[in-house]
Amino acid sequence: MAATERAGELFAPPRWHLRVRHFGQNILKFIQTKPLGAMGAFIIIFMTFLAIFPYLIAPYDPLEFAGLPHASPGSDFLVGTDELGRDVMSRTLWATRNSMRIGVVAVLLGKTIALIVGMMSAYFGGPVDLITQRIVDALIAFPGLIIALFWVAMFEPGVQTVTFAITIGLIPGSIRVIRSRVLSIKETTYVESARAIGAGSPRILIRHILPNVTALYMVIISLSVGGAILVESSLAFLGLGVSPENPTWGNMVQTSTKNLFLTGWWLPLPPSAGLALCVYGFNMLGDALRDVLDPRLRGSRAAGIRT
Amino acid sequence: MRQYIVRRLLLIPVTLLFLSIIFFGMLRAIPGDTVDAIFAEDMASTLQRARAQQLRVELGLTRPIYEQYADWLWHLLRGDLGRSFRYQKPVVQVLQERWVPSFQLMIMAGIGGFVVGVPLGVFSAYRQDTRVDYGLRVLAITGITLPVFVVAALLLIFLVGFFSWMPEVEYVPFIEDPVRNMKKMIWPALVLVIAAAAPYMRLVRSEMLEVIREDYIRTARSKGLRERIVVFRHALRNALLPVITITGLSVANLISGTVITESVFEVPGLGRTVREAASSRDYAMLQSMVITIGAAVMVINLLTDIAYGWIDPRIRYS
Repeated sequence: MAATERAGELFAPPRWHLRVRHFGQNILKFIQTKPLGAMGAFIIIFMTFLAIFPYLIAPYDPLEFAGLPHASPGSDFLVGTDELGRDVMSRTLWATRNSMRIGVVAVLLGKTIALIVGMMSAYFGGPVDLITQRIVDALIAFPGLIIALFWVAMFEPGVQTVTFAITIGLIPGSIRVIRSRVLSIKETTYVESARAIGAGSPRILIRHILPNVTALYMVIISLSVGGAILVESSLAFLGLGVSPENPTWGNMVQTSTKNLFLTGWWLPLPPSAGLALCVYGFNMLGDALRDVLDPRLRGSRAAGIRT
Repeated sequence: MRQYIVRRLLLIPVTLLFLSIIFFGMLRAIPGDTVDAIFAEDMASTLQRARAQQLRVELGLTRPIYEQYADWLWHLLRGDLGRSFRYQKPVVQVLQERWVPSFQLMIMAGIGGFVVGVPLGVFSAYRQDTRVDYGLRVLAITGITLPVFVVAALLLIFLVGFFSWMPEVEYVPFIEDPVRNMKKMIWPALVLVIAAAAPYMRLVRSEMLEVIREDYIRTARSKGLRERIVVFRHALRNALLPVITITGLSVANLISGTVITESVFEVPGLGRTVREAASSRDYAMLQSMVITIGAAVMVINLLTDIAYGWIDPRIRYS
């Protein structure tokens, strides 16, 4: 029965238009049921566009000394210039690239590691599980920012170090969540029957368990990007992020608050707004995706924003 | 219950041991050490290099790593955490000098967040789908979305830009002069209260909305209890249960919050120490901070779980 069905699928003419329509209907439904989530998605798409093509919108080069230091907002500079005469608007736009790249890469890396380790830990159990869980116990006590601070203190400053620093803090909590989910999947009848017909561990893990944690994995990812960007900008604000001439929202807020007594009070506002918008977008989308894909996760500790 | 507490208490030192091994191993596995940080770029001349090597021998950095770890652990057990380079003092002394302001800040923020967040959450739920509710919900989302340092920056703008406020330079302990102490501490505490209150608001609101539809609330109303008693005695008491579980999370957030606020408002506390130690690679200090923070968070998590079991007798730990 299954074989003929699959053969029919193989030889049937591709019905892409139906799939596209189906996909479109799903998106429309998402927008209708979760307007806030859709708004979050819209913000993220906009931000991603900014991160990829900042030069299309930014009027100046972010490193260029475009005018006099501390110029007031006006027709030349939309929100003025900073202490070196660089255009704050352009720097804010370019900062999207740095912050989003670090945040997204850290989350993808960290959550994928957490997925693999969590699955292994739950599936194999025994000493592997015991040691992993003790390490998780040790690390879960720490807020992400503190772990990142310690990590940054140990390595040469730079984009890579900062990314890894944030990654480490993202792993332990998700290992817990994925492990407990896999523990319950492991006991289901379909895993048992797969084992009964002689499927090996890799096959069970990849073909039977992985598809059942994919939704959870996606939800965890979308819920964590906002927090990761927060940690990135907090690090930069503390002067321990990427090098200061590279604009990020965090170091822009830092330099402008430092000069607050000398210059315009509006300077920290554009980067703060960019950061808040980005984090808001990711949180709204994450919340909505969680409700749609994995409502069981609601209210769990792992779903919260950690900084 | 007692067995559970004892087991959890026994687990804390084990976890701390793991933590210190991980951290120690990582510190030594990577290139660069404290001596490099002290000498920074001056390593070019032969004289400096010889001096650096001498310092390494003095500090015991040339010995095998397990020996160093055993040595460190032995000193830790005797209450000696080593000597901090950044401050040129024993680490224990730095911790003793600096824990008070951080502790004060976290207590102010923790209590403040609860006192502000819970009533606003109740109010928001009570006026569900009115303009007040929408306003409060937007406020809560803003509080969660805005990172602590942005709130601190905005507060600074507000104070400096509109009231030409100048920061209180010197920190005075609360016992010596409460007024001057408060003048300095009220602003970082305010920032942290905003960050701490928002999650309480959201959680209390959603819990209240669930509880207020329960049968026993209808019963309480129908037997003629006053609305205030129904809301606070019957509904809030049950809605507060899950709130306790986020206290642990809130403490974690408060710790990273103190790192930032203490740096912005120049409070000489542990949070600022963490940042300074991190930027000057003061390993002795960092190691001690890892243990201190880890122990603090674990004890608080244990207390949270015990409190939860004590308040809600349905929960049984085994």
